Amino acid sequence: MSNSQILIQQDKVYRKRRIINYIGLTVIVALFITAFLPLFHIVYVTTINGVKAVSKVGLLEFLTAPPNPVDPQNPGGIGPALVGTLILVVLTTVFAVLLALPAGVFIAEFRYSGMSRLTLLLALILMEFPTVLIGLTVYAIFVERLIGRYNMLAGAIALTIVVLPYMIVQISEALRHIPYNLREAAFSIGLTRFKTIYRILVPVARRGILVGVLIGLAKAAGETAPLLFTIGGAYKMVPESLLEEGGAVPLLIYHYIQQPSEAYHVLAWGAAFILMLVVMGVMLISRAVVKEVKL
Amino acid sequence: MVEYAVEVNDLHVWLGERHILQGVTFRCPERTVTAIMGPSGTGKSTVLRAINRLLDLNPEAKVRGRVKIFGVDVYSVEPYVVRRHVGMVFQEPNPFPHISIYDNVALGPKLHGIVRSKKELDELVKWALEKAMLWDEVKNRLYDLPTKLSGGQKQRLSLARALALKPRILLLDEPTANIDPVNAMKIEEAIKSIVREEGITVILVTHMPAQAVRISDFLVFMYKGKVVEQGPTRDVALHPRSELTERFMRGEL
Ligand SMILES: Nc1ncnc2c1ncn2[C@@H]1O[C@H](COP(=O)(O)OP(=O)(O)O)[C@@H](O)[C@H]1O
Ligand SMILES: [Mg+2]
Repeated sequence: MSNSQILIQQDKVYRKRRIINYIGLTVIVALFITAFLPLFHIVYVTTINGVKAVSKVGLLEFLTAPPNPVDPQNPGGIGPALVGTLILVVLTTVFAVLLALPAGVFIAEFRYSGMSRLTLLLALILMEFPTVLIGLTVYAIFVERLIGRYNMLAGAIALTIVVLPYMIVQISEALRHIPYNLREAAFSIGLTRFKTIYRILVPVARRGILVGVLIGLAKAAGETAPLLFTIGGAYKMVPESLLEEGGAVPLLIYHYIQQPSEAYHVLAWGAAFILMLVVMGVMLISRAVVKEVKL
Repeated sequence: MVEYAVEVNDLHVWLGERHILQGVTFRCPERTVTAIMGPSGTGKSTVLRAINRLLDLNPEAKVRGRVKIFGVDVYSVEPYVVRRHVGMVFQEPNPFPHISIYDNVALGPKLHGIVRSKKELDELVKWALEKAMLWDEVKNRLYDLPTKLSGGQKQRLSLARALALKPRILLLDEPTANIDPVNAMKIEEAIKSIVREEGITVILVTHMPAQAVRISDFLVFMYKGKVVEQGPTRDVALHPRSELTERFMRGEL
């Protein structure tokens, strides 16, 4: 074969490859769009309906006033439910961090022990657990048996159980990614295991840990099923104590969208919009604020 | 009786199933530099980690034999106590990335309660950075993170961090392997002055025969987990008795 023949033949091969390449790329882009279309659609629909609902009474009114769905002209807002969500999120975050930080550290730093592997396994199982079952269990213990009525504390406990495995896994992953030579450095100057963990490893992994906490926080703000049988659903006023019935934004959405009147739907859409903003806002802002430790 | 700073006697180490060190024996008199040489994978780093008990971090590691510092069996006392008196610098510079240059040096003395006042701490930090020949380069940015330092500067910071605890023994694991020649020379200078002026005993793992000749008093040549030959550096380097040592010195291993 002459040189020119070789060139022509190779050119043919390359053309074919290029076409295959284009087809592959098209398929990937199409799949990408298919996967993310629902997300864009949710954001779009929620925004359109939500903005309409919120602007009916004005943002400030919507965020602070109690709902008044009997008056379609002035349906009020989601103030008490928003406060309820705030209470639940704060409580849940505190509970969950207190439990998840030691558990995550244990999994990452004692990874050779059987107990540590068992902890990880339990966290992974809990993660797959139907949240409605968690809600039901907490109902049986904290609502029926111990307190005797729906209450916010039971809601926070149920939410804690739901978000805990996410935080644990995320925190242990963040710690696991720290290079081994930093551990050695810490031990080489005579630090104990405990001091190595809280002086060096946790601060170095702080961003990953914070992301884990935020994922938990966002989940706590958005979950509905754990609250169904625990906090009751009182949307008109803020509970006076943690042992009383209360409301939360996702539960309000769930209840109001089922009502047969337009004013309820308006409130539900507005609440959905606010929930979306809060969750996305928390994620974006804190990711920007906490700086990663450059290695 | 000669007081040895470090005595390693018939040291065996297994990592999992592998018999990494197979009876290593050597002694380091006080205020001397002992160089450990040998091809990579021979177990040099493992010897150092057995001395300051960093091997304890690896649950797969089994140690047999005896390591004494100043006559005390290191495996009979708390590992934290051993490590506080035996400093170590690693092949990869590894300053703590989340705290300032100052705090990198100050953390150890602070946590071990070595200093009584801020002023004393400042002086100690300055002393350690001077000893590591880094002071002039960082004195105007002590409170910056170490991230922006060059590799060689990071390595000297690691040295200063170790020195700040005023160790009696210093283990250096190929401290100049990953850095440029200028920085390597500075570290060699620092080592010499540390031994001469502070009386610290140094064990230096190195793969450069020339470096061993420049700064060590004794030389231990290892091959596949065993000591092949040891003695005063000049003797071993100039008149190696073993063919392995000779080939390594010529750069053939
Ligand atoms: N954590 C470990 N687990 C199992 N084997 C290891 C581990 N670390 C090192 N080794 C093995 O131990 C041997 C000696 O390693 P090392 O002491 O680092 O050698 P050197 O420092 O002389 O290059 C090598 O063969 C290496 O593969
Ligand atoms: Mg090594």
